[in-house]
Amino acid sequence: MKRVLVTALLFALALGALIATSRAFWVDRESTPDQRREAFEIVWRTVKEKHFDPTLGGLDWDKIKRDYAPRADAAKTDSELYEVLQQMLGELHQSHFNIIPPELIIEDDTKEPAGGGVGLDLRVVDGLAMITRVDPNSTGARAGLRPGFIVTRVDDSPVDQLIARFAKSKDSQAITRFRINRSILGRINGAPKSSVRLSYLDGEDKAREATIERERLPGEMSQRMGNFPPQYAELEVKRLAGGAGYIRFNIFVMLLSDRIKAAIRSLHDAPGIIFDIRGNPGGLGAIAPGIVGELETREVSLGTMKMRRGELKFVAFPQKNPYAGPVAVLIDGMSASTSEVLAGGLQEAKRAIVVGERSAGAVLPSLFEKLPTGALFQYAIGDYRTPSGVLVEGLGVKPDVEAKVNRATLLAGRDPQLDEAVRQLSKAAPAVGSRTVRN
Amino acid sequence: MKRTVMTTLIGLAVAATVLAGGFGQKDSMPTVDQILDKYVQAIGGKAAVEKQTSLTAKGAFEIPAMGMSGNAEEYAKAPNKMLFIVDIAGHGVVQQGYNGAVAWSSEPAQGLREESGAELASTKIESEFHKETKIRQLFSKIEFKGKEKVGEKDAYVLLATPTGSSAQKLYFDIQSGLLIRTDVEQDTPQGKVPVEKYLDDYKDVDGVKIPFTRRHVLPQMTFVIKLTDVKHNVAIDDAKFNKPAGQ
Repeated sequence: MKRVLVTALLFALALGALIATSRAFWVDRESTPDQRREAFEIVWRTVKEKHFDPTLGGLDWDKIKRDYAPRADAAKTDSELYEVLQQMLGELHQSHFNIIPPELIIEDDTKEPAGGGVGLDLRVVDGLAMITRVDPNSTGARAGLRPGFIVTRVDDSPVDQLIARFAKSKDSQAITRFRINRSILGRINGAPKSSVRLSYLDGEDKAREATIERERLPGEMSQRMGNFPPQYAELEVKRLAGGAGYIRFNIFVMLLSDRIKAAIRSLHDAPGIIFDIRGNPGGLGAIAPGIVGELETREVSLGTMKMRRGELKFVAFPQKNPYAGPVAVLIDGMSASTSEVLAGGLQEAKRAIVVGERSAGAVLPSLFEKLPTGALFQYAIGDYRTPSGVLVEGLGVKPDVEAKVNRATLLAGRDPQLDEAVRQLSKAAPAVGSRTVRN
Repeated sequence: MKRTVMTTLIGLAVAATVLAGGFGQKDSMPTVDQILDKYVQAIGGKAAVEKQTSLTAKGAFEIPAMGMSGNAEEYAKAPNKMLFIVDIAGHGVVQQGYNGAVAWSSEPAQGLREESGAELASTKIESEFHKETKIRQLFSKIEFKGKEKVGEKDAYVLLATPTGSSAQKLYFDIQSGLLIRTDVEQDTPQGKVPVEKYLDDYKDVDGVKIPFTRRHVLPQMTFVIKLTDVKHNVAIDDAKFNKPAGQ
């Protein structure tokens, strides 16, 4: 390599996933006290030396060390240490500072989903765990679960108690909401062929109970990317009534990058395309500009990542024959990180109308480092501002058209947010002409 | 004084660099020409460098802090063609090329694009096959900036300013004369990125010394490229350097 600088890589590898891990293997050994001390020191020092804001917003990080080091020293197990480290990182009140214990890291590179589920998604709304989506082919659907039902208990754990555990969280509201959701879904999902007992309120508020067998999830596992563990990845592409294209994906990983682009190209004749990134926690930062490159005829910035030294723009490069029809992006409070870059960037570029609910406001580009104890330490390396300079962390992307999840419409078999996105597309769709730009 | 040192350098060639351990009398500072001449001598001399007209290299690519690794390949051909390929596990193939007219890069997530402006100007310089012997021509202004430490080594520092792209700081080991570090604010579409490149583990390949280890230090991460196999004067089809067709 005589001369070249790999400029293409400068930006591409920043990750923005928000703690999107799931089941893995159990570690049967505890670290030594020295390894725990070293792990504490790495985490504390990384924040001190690499946080994008050297002032840490006025936080006295040396004092934090004085407060937390004795607690870390007193930790008898790795789990206790991770709890202390996560609490220390919580003092920052920022997303993307996480300790991911080894037992939550999927180590094996296999395309087969590491876990199973019953095919449902849910959101905690006003303290109630409301089912928002049920895969029609899932065991959950066969057991009678429907969108709009309220989950009240998972096995022996009442949902309100699961939620109450997070009452003293030092994390931001968005992250806490995210963790609550993950916590409930994490208990519902599990190994294929095992079962989960769900108590729930049906559409008539009648208390019911069902024991449902978990089955293998329909997606695939992404390939490990350095310290970024394999992730469960799912892509749904279809045409809605009226012809609009619909693309839903649960995470931004390389496995899906080309497939999403291919999906866009396969929908070039559609009168509009909806990207459904509700519940999408983010992922590889470069995938968002890559998607926009399939929708734009010009180079556009989706925003700026400001680091301790310098800043980088999230630039989308127009690709050959981009899609020119109207675009809508569906977001909600569980859309985080790269999802927010995509939604916020397309919104400000006026290339898409954003529909749904305000996003998580958890969008700090981050890296993953392995600690001597085997855990992963995720830390943010920059903040993110939209092209007009709006800091999204803690604020989220405000949709152009707000549409909330509504139990009554969910029970009626409608998705009010998707319905609104379709309505917006039909208003924006050009009457005639090709929807592919030839270049 | 200058003339004396210059004459000595020219006359003694490589021997002078080895014996002197520097550039002449104690406390005297060398000229830009002396530093560059010593550099060319240190890597094998102008004749040896210019005897080579193409290069292929293979090696390993690593981002240690992120646990990422992959394979790296380079193809270069005189006067100014280059192709650089990194295949990163879990990410895919990243390429950067220049065919003497069009500079381009391709990254699996962001797609294919063409370089322009300051980025293109920079790539043109970096793609010069005989860059080491053409530094004076490639940069419109070169200034001596004194001495600095690079790790344990003392180095002379030159500030080389090209036309149309960012200036580079070049650090030459006083002892060996070799280029051991370059600093540049790399022009990219994402903005200017400060990059420190450390060159190490020089090995002789066909009479030319080549750094087999390169460490690129960026604000957010460090890349390391370690070469394992370098060949000169291998036939390379010109078409290899062309921008690939898009989708």
